[in-house]
Amino acid sequence: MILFRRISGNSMHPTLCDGDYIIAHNYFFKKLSIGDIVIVDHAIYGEIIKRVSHIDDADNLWLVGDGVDTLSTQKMGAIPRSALAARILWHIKGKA
Amino acid sequence: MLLVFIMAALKFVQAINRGKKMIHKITKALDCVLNFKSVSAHCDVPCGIYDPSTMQVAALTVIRFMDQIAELDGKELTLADQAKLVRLVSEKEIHAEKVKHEVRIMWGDYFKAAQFEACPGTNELVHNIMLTGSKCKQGINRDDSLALLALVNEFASSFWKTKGVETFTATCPYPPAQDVVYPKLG
Repeated sequence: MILFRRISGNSMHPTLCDGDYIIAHNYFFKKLSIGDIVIVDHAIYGEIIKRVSHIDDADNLWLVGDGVDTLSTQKMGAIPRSALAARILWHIKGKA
Repeated sequence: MLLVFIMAALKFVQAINRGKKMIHKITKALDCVLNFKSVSAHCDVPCGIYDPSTMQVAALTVIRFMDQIAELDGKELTLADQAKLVRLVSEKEIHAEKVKHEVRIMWGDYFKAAQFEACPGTNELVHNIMLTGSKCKQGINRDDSLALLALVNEFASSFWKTKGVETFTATCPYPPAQDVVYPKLG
């Protein structure tokens, strides 16, 4: 499925800024890699967009934001694969 | 020839940027109609609310507790006095720590390159607040608490300067009746 999303917040600044748009998909043909930007359904924070910082031995994802005011990796905790919603495909920047 | 090539390259980049802006405009228009779901690039501190008044009040509180501790000096302390002394010392340390906490948040989260450029002595000032705050926790020297308030006032001046807000100094209308830097708002 292809997802259109509007970015809300600046935790992924400067890569993604508030008001930008992204197109994402949930066809995980290609293996997920460290550094990929993904959308996950977080148990506490809802649908969030972050970068994969590492994948542990239990196949959980650990995420990180690109910005300075981001939630910490520890606060987000280990994200099970089942919470993975999509991977970013295309980014439409608001300010060029 | 080189100049022509550079001009052509610049025009090409400008055209791409115009194209990107156009795509964003089209997407935004679609968003108005289809109302895309937003995805949160969740921030730890999204509120952006910073105000030095909290640490100024905490610094005044430290002075006030030092004064109240000094009032017990030389007295033969009853059990009630001893209980009061323990409480005063404990609260003095809590408020000195509060000053350190607040300045750390404002220095770490609010101050960025532009603010450091506008107030070049900020790093040293914040370090001095941390050191003086610790002195106030460790001892009961009133001069240390006055020095802490002076530093915190200096920080407040810098903070309001970064906001483009003028300040004035006035004596706070309650004990310990010390000079405090206030913003000229409204």
